[in-house]
Amino acid sequence: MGFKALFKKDLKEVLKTYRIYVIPAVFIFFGLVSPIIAYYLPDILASMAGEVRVELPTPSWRDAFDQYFSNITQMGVLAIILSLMGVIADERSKGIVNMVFYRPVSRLAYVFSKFFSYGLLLSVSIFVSYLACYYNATVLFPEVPLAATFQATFLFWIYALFIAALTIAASAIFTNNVAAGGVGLGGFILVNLLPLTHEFFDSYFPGALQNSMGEILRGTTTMSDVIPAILVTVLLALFLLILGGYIFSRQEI
Amino acid sequence: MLVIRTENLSKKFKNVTALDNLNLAVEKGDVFGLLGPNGAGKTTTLKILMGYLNPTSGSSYILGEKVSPNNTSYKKRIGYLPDVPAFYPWMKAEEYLAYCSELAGLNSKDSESHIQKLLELSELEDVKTKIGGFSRGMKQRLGLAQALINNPEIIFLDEPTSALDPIGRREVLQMIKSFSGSITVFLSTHILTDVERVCDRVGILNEGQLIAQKSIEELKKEYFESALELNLSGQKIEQFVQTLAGLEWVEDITSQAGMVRLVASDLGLAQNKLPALIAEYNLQLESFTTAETTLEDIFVKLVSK
Repeated sequence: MGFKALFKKDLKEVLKTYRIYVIPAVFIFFGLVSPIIAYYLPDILASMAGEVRVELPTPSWRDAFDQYFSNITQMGVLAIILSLMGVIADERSKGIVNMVFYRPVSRLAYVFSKFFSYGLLLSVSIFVSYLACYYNATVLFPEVPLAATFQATFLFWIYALFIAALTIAASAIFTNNVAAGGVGLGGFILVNLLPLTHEFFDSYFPGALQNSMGEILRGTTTMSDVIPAILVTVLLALFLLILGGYIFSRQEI
Repeated sequence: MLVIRTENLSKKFKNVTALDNLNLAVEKGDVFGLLGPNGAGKTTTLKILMGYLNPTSGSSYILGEKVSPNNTSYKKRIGYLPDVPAFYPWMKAEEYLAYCSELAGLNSKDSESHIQKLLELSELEDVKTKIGGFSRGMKQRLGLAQALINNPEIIFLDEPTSALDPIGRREVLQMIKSFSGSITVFLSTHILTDVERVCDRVGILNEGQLIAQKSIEELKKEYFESALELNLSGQKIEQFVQTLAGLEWVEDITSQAGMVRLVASDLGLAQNKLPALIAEYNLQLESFTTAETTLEDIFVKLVSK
């Protein structure tokens, strides 16, 4: 209830606050520089080695995208957590929500509105970042495949939305944005560690998507192999948002 | 017709009892003042009525509907201004009212003229800065405007004048007074003069307990006191006050800087006896007035019981 009004407001908020700069800037930056770093890395290392002779294989488009995914799965994810940890927690601690929830507005709609508005920002940022990375890669390297790089980016997009859902759910439950960020970060570390503990998590959990990005680039796995992990990630994100909304709706404010 | 009702409402925060068996009843069209010192439980009462806090026991009803966080049936018909209204700092006043209008489920085209009226009413029609740059008074006025966006049947106001300067306070009180009869107003405050100016009925809350719930007239009748105020000068004021304190017809006496205030059981007797006593102690009477019982006198008497 109240989703349309909340979503419209949250979209405006995305456009009018610092978040419009932070998330796109981080992603586009790494999209632009990753192929350049991959291309010049052998020269950089050689110049640093001095007298010592360093033999490195000629870099390829795969190195550019490996570099890209390595950067955005670390710094990009950190930017998502830091930017979104306060989206609800801040509004709760400042008392802004007290002017909202006496009206016919559901707290679940409030959580979903935040997710869809910031998810949209994230989606656009990732897409533009991918275009930047792809363009630079095609300038620097021959024969950059569109399908494999796009599919790997698609997996990262699902993974990033999952992290956003986790952080927004934590932000709905905790009034302190540092606690919400801590839970977001803890959840991010957990989903990456779980695939190391059991084959089940390695095949079906969000962390599996991160491993699959590289495998898609190398052609050692196909999208159909990753579908179970995609479905589990989407359902888990949905579950986290509903759980966050449910706990939030039962909390005193 | 009762539009707000609480039944044995209690709220405990760990070991602290914020509300203790509160039974409130507010009639349609009343301007009801919930009066109490800081920490008496006023904001807790309002937060329970808004569904923001769950009562430890008891229940509350608004417009006949039981209050709960997920019951939205009465929420289109009420307005609320919290004690410290907080807004999105990046929004402008008009933008915020349009947002509230949409949240209330109103048609955006129909509400345009209403938003303009409310901006005029809150004197924010020419303000183009973002809410982040507003003074506390401007935020309070915008808070009141948002509470009226849906033409509510009841508005709940938590300390609505505490942040305002004397002029702003007078304007807000005039606005509240103008609602009398058309909109039920439930306002909490510790400013007694505000209550005397606008409220029809009051509930006096102290340490979570409702110690009185009546019209101001009824309260004044019930707690009427024959008080006299004497402005004296001379050396023996203290001895004079001590003598009076021992007399049977003197119920209460206070003295400060030559100003003696006494409550007599028989006003006529006091007026007869006092001149002789003043002369006996060789005091000069600068002024002599019979004091009317104020809400403040009643409040202090009830709260300090």
